Amino acid sequence: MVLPAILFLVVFSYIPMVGVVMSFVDYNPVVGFAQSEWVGLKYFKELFTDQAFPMIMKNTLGMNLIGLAVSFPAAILFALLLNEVRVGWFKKTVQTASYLPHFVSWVIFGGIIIQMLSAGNDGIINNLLLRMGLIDRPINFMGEPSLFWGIHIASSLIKGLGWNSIMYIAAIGGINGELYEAAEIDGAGRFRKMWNITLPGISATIVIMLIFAISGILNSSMDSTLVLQNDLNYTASETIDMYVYHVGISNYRFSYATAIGLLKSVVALILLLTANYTSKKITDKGLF
Amino acid sequence: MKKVLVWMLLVTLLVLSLSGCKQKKGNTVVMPEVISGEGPSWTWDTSPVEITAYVGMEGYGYKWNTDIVSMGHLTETTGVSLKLISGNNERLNAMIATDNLPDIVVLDSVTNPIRQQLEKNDRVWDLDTLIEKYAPDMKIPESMHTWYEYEDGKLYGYPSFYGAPEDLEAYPDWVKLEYHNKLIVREDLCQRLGINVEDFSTQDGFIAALKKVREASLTVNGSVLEPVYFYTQPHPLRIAQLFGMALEDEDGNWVEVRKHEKYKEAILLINRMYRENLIPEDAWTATADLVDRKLNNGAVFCLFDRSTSGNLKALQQVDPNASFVPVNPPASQYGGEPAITAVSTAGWTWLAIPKTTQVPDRIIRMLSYLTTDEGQRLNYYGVEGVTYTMDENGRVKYTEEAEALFNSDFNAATRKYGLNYFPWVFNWSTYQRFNPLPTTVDQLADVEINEFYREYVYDARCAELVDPEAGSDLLAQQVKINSYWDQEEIKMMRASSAEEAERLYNEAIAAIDKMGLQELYDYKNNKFHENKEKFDLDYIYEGNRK
Repeated sequence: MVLPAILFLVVFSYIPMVGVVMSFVDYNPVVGFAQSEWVGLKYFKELFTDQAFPMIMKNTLGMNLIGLAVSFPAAILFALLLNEVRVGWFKKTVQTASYLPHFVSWVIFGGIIIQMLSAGNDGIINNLLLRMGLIDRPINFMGEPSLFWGIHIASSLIKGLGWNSIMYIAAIGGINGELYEAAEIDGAGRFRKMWNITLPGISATIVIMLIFAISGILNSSMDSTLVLQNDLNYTASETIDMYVYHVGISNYRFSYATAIGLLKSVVALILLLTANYTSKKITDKGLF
Repeated sequence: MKKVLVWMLLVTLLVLSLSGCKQKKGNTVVMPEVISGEGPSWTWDTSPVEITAYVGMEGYGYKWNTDIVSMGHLTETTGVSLKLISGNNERLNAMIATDNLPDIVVLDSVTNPIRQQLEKNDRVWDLDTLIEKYAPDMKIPESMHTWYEYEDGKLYGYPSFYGAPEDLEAYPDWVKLEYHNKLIVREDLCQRLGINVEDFSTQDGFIAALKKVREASLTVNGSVLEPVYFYTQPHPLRIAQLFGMALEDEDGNWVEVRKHEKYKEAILLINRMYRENLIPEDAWTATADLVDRKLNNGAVFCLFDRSTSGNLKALQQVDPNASFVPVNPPASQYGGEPAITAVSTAGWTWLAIPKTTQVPDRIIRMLSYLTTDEGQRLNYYGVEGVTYTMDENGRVKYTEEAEALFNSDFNAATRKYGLNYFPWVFNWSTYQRFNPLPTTVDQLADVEINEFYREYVYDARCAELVDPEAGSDLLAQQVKINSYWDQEEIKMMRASSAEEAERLYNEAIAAIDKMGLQELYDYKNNKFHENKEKFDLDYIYEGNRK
């Protein structure tokens, strides 16, 4: 029964891996891999010696680490809080409202954010601040590099919070109800139950999600950055993925783009193994 | 046993998929029999034929339907039905890698590197051979051939939106170089605020005029009147051209604009406008949509980089007295007249005919038809007698039925007549030669604005098309230098003082020098000279001719 799945994996995941050869040659689609010139590690060297490398590395790591520190616990907290809501219709309403932004494309969601933060006559936030007398000139939120990380992380949080909490809500649903009843008999309050039953009950899920999140630390959301980036905030918004897109793919440098992709995969693998190892040592839980 | 079977299956799959990566060789090239007949070549054989055409243009997703006027007419005239496939470069790459090319390939850009690869690897037909054999009546402008011919002296495709210098000479009253760069101001508001349009011709006068607007803080139609907008964002290049910076120096060499004194002067002028709070914050990240809205609303006093186009019509509906006039731009401290580059006329898409096609004869004859005046009008205006007739000036006049449909539902008319469905063979001079003459107030105002700077416009294609080959290391170097420069240039324009702007400028120049600007310059200058040689030009900028 497992054969179709294996075949699927082989055809769509393993065979395409041959494509990593592309990162070691000057790939030319018309002549194919075989005739393309072998250039070894040229494209890897190019990235590391690039004058923009410190900037894109800082932006990628900075935004992702802070984003992880904020949105990871936020999703858990949201799931825990939602679990404590006892009024059915309210719980469902909150859940639906929080999932909705996930289904709105970044083009629309980002457009709304940009419009709200606009420094022109139509920016609602600036208008509000001006009328409250807190500022005397509109702030160009989207044009201020020092604000970009905050805006990006906050908008990603709003968009993804509900969706990211689904796994935890599902995990909470799987906790044996008898444990709560027993705790109640023992006189445990809400917080005690949350701390001693719910959190340990979903700790395996938390660990798995954290390991995945850590391994993806070099990935950044292209959708959100493409929408929110502009010439003014470029120094704070250009990430590795965006740079590969700008310098690599949009200039037909497929080999360069593949090399960076390969490099990121290797780093992700190392991070995954390290996080898994550490987690197993500390919490005795891991992916494998 | 089962295990063995599974492994065998896996290995077979692997081998099969790997062999798929290899190219098929030895496709036979079909050369249909040469025929000839009376009349134009496309009428010699009008038997029905379906031709597959890949069109790699964004948003091009039409399907062949002979009920659509233009498509039906092409089929009726030439017998050809096109099976249109759209997609992106990845799709095309897959077709190339599997040796599965359609009969016609339209690349999204004349500079798409796939074009060179197809030519280099002998995968496409040269038009010279096909024209000679199958469609001797097809005309290709000589300059187009010279500009695009491959090393062997043959032309391997057809560019759309190519502006032929031949047309400029043949129709001097109609075909002109288009350009964007200009400076226009609201004449009615100048009078209201006591600003003299002559004031704009000096930098101090220009700044003082804009300051008057800022200080007056007028509210028009509910929005604050802003002193200046750009189309679409502040950029020193256009202002430097108004200052008189040409893309060619007096010795006929290519100019690295960033090092030009007038470019630096333009940065400093924008910086001064910024420091005086004359540039609205949203102008820095403006889109065309935003600027259009502001213009329509009357919230823009002075605009760089574009004429009013459709905006004046909308604006006058809100404010009937509103009018824009072109003004002499602020002069450079180094002197000189504006040197404005024309909109690039070197071409947009690239049509090639793969050698795998079975019907090169029918394709070239169809192209022969589409590149005639009538074929060109088919794309933009439809069918003579159905959607338009020709007036006494030799201009298109829409039929009453078409006019009515255009006025009631423009999109429905476009769909019914199939207008602009063949942009991949269209040339802008067709529009200039046949489009109805301007009649409305806003159209006439536009003509006046465009004529104002006309004498300063020059064809700069030789200087603009000097980028290193796509996919090359030198191009990557250029992209990196440009992206670094762009991020620094914004800081210069928004610096807190002129000294700070100048310091940032000097630092950035030193940095791009270090990033290998000279190597890039040498390449581009060399390419520039090669381009000029193609057209047998000593200079591209009139002011440099001694």
